[in-house]
Amino acid sequence: MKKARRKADRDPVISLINIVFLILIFFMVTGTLTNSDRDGVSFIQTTDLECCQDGSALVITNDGTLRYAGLVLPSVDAFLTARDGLETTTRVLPDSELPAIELLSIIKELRAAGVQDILVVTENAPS
Amino acid sequence: MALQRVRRRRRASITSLIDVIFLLLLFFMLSSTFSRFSEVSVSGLNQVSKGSGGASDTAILSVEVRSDSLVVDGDVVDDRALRSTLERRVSELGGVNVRVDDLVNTQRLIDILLLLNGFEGLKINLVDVV
Repeated sequence: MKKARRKADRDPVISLINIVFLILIFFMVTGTLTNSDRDGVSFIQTTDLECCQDGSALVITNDGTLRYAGLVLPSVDAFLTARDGLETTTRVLPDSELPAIELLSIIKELRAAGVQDILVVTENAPS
Repeated sequence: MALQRVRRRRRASITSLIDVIFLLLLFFMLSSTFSRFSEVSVSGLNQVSKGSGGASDTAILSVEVRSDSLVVDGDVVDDRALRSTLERRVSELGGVNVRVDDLVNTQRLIDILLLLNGFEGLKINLVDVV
């Protein structure tokens, strides 16, 4: 009698673990880890673009502050010295509310420093 | 008596297992994101300074981007009109001069650039304001 009761008590716990495991695996597989650099940045929304690999990007907040790898940078030159020299492309992640003129002047500065391949990171909105 | 004790020890740890799993679950729920990212290349754009565009050149379409409208060759139009203008004239055009005003945000600029990117062989010049 005692044994039977114990089994009955434990069954719901095991099914609970099963469900929690399932949710855990779901989140591990489907989610990607967020980058804390991107906190508070509202992404530019685009549709119908092919997605690509995600990399570290020069973040420009809506007041024009530059952030890269967790640091606030004073200028574009500081970014060029801080980043990994092996990367061939440069990713720029501007806030969607940043004045376009500021983005253009930053791109111009990057070009003047010899950076050729510049990509603007956007968020692909579900269409 | 001794045998029974050993058995009890083996059975115990299900609650701590649940604790750990819950911890992992919470971690992944809070730290993951489902948004998908994409990229727009701006390598193909020319950045030209204000004077060098040559306004008299008829093969170049001048597009001024404003936050709620577009000025195409002096006429105020909307985005759809720009698309249809380009569809008509893309073969004769040598390029597009894009100018932005102070109030335009990056979202708007990228929208227009993507619209222009849809036309193959169209050369896009970004005119500096300063």
